[in-house]
Amino acid sequence: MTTSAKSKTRLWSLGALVLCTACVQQSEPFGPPYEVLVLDRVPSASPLEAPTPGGAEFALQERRLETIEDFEQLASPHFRILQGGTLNATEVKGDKVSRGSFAGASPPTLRYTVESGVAVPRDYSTLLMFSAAYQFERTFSGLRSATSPNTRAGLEAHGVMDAIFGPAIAASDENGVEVSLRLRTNAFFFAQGWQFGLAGSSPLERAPFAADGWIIAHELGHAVFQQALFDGKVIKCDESLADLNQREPLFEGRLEEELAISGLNEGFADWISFAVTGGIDPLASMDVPPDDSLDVNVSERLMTEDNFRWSQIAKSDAPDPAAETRCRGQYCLGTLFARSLVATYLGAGHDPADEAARHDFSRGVVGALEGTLAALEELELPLPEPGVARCESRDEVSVEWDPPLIGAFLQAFLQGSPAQTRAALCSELALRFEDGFPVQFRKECE
Amino acid sequence: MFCWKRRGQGEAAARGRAARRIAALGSAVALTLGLSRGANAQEDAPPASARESTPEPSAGFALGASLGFLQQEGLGAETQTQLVPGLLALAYVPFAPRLFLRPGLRLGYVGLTQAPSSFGARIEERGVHATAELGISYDAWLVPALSVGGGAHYRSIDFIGRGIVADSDAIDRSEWLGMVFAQVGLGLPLFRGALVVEPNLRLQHTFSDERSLLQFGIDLTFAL
Repeated sequence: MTTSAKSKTRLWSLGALVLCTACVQQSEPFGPPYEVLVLDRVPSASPLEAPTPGGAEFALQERRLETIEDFEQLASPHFRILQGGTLNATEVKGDKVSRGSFAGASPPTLRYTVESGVAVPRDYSTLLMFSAAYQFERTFSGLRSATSPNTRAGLEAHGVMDAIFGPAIAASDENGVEVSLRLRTNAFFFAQGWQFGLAGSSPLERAPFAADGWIIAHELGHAVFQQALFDGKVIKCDESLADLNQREPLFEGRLEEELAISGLNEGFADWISFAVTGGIDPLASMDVPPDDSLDVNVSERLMTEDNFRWSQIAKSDAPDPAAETRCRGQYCLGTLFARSLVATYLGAGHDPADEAARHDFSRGVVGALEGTLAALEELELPLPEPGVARCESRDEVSVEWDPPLIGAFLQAFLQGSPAQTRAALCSELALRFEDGFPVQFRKECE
Repeated sequence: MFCWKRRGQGEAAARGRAARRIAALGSAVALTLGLSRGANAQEDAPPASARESTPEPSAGFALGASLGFLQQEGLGAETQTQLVPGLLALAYVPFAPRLFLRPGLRLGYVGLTQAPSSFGARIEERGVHATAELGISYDAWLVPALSVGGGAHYRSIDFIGRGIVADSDAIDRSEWLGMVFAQVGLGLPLFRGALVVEPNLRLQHTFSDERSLLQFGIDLTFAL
């Protein structure tokens, strides 16, 4: 071999080395369907079974993505994974962004290698996105079975839902003051854009939210609520019509502003989480330290444990409301609703691990919600409080304003519930909501 | 017990030592700046006769340390900063008046900072990169330099599960990645060029890893 040939060979070898060092992405053909390594819950015999102390509840597992059509974009006919962008939120209620706009998200940047036909993530972001894609697939599949035909059709008519990782959040108040937020430890649903957001990871997550089907199913439960109750429409309350609103019991956008409805929405989402996944505690993977200032740890959302009632979240005789230690927010109110639904399900003799039974029961629950708005129009709703008429939301449960609305909503909901469980559900609701479900609205309990 | 005693007795002495160190550091900074000015003034404005008699500059070498702050794309809209300490060796080869070719070698460590992650599950990436570069620098009061380079990055990836997440080695592996970069810097020669402090800005690309953005860094080299 001549000297110049040797030099050429060396150059090619060097080039090949450089190229090969870059060969860490997909190196063999695979999919569809795509096998991926994800973080997922370890299957347990029963959802009610307490995890072994110190035992693992999540593990890396090989799973199959059945509906993903474009693997590099993690896009399926039901959802697509995006990252980044900015959510301009003008109104946030818990984990629901009720007003705002979203723009600027980009397709995911995935880093993985294919080994024995399985895509193995090479960084944390990719692990989260693979895991979330798998959970979305499972949840959408579960929702098809756990919702009524009308709601299912409505959800599908919305088209592809964007699941956005790590968006920047810009929040602005009514005065136009903007703040830039970096949300951690949260997942949220943005009904207006039919979008789902997952904030960046935080040490408060005992396991990443993106890998927790219980949380993803809860957030998609808000989409089901929006579809079933409001027919998928997002109606904005118009504050310029405050005077008119004050005289109209069902003015446009009232229900969206009411804390009671927002709370019932949370409870419904918890129910959907249980119905789809069997999970009984949507907050299980979040490390929420017990609040020692509370009489009981009412923040707990375990759906099978009755540790508080309406009287503990809505006291009216406190001398100094600011110093009270009770939970007054929408989540506690919602938990009463979710626990009543689960108690009725269990009371009917169903096994929490029986997926078919959960789905069947849930179809009745979703069907009942579909007819609730129409039934509410037939009932005599109380006039709105002045704040709600001005499109302002409350943060705390009110013993004066909430019970009539909760009562009317529950009565309307019960009217559409399956006859065989209606009375039992009414009793469970009455047991937990106490005075928050006034007697005059308990006609279906008889 | 012995330790406590020493600490108690040595408190006043420690204060004294600290004061002396601060004074020494202040003197060093003042001296350094003074010498630097003197050196640069001499270099920048040599008399004509001296210029004629100045011998042709010869090749020189420098060794040093660097600290980089590599901006990387994180999850979504996030960016994170990787701290990259390193070692470097540079040669200065004159090829035109005041212009030097500057070949160099660098060795850096990546992994001191990790991406934000959950308590239960995290993926830690650690590695070293070795690069060779060729630059050009202009010798003046300040020494601007422009370099391009490339090399290899060895990286280990480890999944760590704790609490309710089971640990696993299913993701663990190591990889070799190629990398290229372009860098601009502005050196400040001190002590007649015996020491050069060079803040720099680097645009870096690692093959199969699109996360790298800009790197801000500082090189500190000593002439041999």
